[in-house]
Order: sequence, then C-alpha cells, then structure tokens
Amino acid sequence: MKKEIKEELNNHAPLLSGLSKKQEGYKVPDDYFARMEADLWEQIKPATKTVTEAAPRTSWWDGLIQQINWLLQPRMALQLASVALLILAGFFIMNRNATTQTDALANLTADDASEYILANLDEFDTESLIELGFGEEDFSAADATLFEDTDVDDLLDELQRENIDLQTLEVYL
Amino acid sequence: MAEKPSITDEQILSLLEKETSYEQGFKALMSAYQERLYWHVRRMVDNHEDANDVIQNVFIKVFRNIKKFKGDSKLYTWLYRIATNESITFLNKRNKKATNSLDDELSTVAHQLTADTYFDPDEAQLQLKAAIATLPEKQKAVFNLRYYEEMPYLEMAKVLDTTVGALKASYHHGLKKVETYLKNIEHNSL
Repeated sequence: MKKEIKEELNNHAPLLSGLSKKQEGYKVPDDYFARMEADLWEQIKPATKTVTEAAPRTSWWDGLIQQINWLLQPRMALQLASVALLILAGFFIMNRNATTQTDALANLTADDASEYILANLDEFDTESLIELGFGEEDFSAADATLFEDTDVDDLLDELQRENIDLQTLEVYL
Repeated sequence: MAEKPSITDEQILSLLEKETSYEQGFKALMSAYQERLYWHVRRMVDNHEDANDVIQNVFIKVFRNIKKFKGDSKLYTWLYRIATNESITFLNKRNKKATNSLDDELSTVAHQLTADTYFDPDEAQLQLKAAIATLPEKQKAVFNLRYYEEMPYLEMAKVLDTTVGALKASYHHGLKKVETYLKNIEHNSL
C-alpha cells in the first residue's frame, strides 16, 4: 500500500486501516473472464469479409449439363415427376370441365335461351337485357346502311309521278 | 489487484487502429483491463449479476467508441471513466426502483449483499461493504478508487472530472462515514 494512502487511513479511519483489502469475499463463476472475453468478441468483432473462392470458369454447356445432372438425381427426379403429374392431372380436369360446359351451351337453341331469360326476367338487369337483345333496340345503324338520303328522295319522286297517295301506299304495304 | 499490463496503452491503441490487428488489440485490451474494470464495477454495484451486465455495457461502449478516443487522456483514465459512469447510472436506476418498491426488506443493502451467491465475506468484510453501500454513488466511486485501487488524486480527478481538492474532501468525508458506521456496529455488539 502506498505510504500516502496508509497515512490517510491511519489518520482518518484507524478501524478501516486494520482491515484486509485482499479478502473482500467477492467471487466470480469459473472461467468467467475467459468466457466474457469470448462473448464480447462475438458482439463487437468487425463484420468479417467472407472470402469466397473464385469458382473455376466453365462454359454454358458444362453449366447446362451440371444443371441437368442435378435435376436427374433420384430424389429431384421423383419430385419433378410428381409435380409434372399433378400439373398434367390438373390440366385434364380443367379442360374436361371446360369442354362439358361448352358442349352444353352449344346444344342450347336461341329459343331455349330466350325462354329462360323471359321466365327469369327479374334476375337480369336492364343493361344485361339490352346487351342480350331485349328491350330498346338501336335501329339507327341498320337504317343508315339500308337507305341513303337519295333513295328516299327517289321514292318520293316516284310516288308523285305515279300519283300514289299515302292511303294507296298503305294498302300495298 | 491485477498486475500492471505488459503492453502499453499506445501499443493497444495502435493494434486496434488496423483491421488486420484489431483482434489482437481487443485481446490485449481485455487482458490488460478486463479484470481491473470488472472489480471496480463489482465494488460499485456489489452484486455479480449486476456487475456482469454493467461491465458488458462498458466494454461494448469502449470498443464502439475506441476510434473516437483521441488520446487527450490516458486510455486507462478513459476506461475507468466509462466504467464509473456506467456504474453510477446503473446504481441510480437500481436505487430509484428500490425506492418505488413497497417491499422495503428486499431493497435493503444487507439483502442485496447476502442474496449474491458469488459473495462470501467474513463478518468484518460484510460490515465494511454495508458501510460503503451507505455512501452516495459518487462518493462511493471516490472511496473505491482511492481505498481499493489506490489511485492518485490526479488520476482520479481525470476519471471523475473534478478537482483534486474536491476529491480529497469527498474521500476524507467518506472515510469518516465508513469509520463511524463500523464503530457503531462494534459498539452495538458489545
């Protein structure tokens, strides 16, 4: 103990100066300091740069062969076969349902469809009915293709020439 | 008390500067200061489990900030300052928790000391530890650094960021309090 410190103790705390400092009674678990160092290193070690060995350069053909070989390993092949089988089965089932539905619709006549719609008219909204050809029809486009303005003028001229009045015309129609 | 490190602080810092020698620097610092700082923290908080938590935080702070250490003070002083501050912060939190606790018995110093399985003192040491535990945190740090670590006042002033005069006054006052506590126990036991 340093002389200065011992004098301080003797002067100010004689009881304390008589006590041993070496046997404090503190203990630590076995290998505590070694473990602390290891634990701490795990926490603070700088992020190590993982040096990966450069893979030898191979051609694309070798790469493809390697991939195929990998896929043809018994376990991989079995897994691939199972997946392929599932996809194939799914495709067949879906396709069969679709065909059945198409066939059933193909057998329906226009009259059957109309009958069904008229019987269940409440289930269809107006827009759907218009799309299906029920309700208001737009003849403007059809008229436009059937008659030109000149055709109408010619017809009127002819009526005048033949002295055919509207009542006579109605009889013909 | 641990032996003086065979490697200098400058050498440790130099090793820690380079990535290639960082691990070597880490081991050198741990070898030089791990035990000394642990015992300092342990004397501050008494309980091994608490000391373990505090010392882990101390070293994590040390290694995360070692590059900011500019060498204005000694590495040794800087390390003790971090350890002391962490211990005082911990004690303040622990005392606050104990004050809020309704169970007074659990918060007594005696209970904390005897509950530690890694503390096996003789009667005199138990009384001394109980006496030291009555000191306020900063005075406890002053007392421990001077009494156990035998640190010169000048170094202590750097660790605790205060004047030598204030430290001397604090230490002498602390000594008196501990001595009085021990005398009272001796008197009561007669």
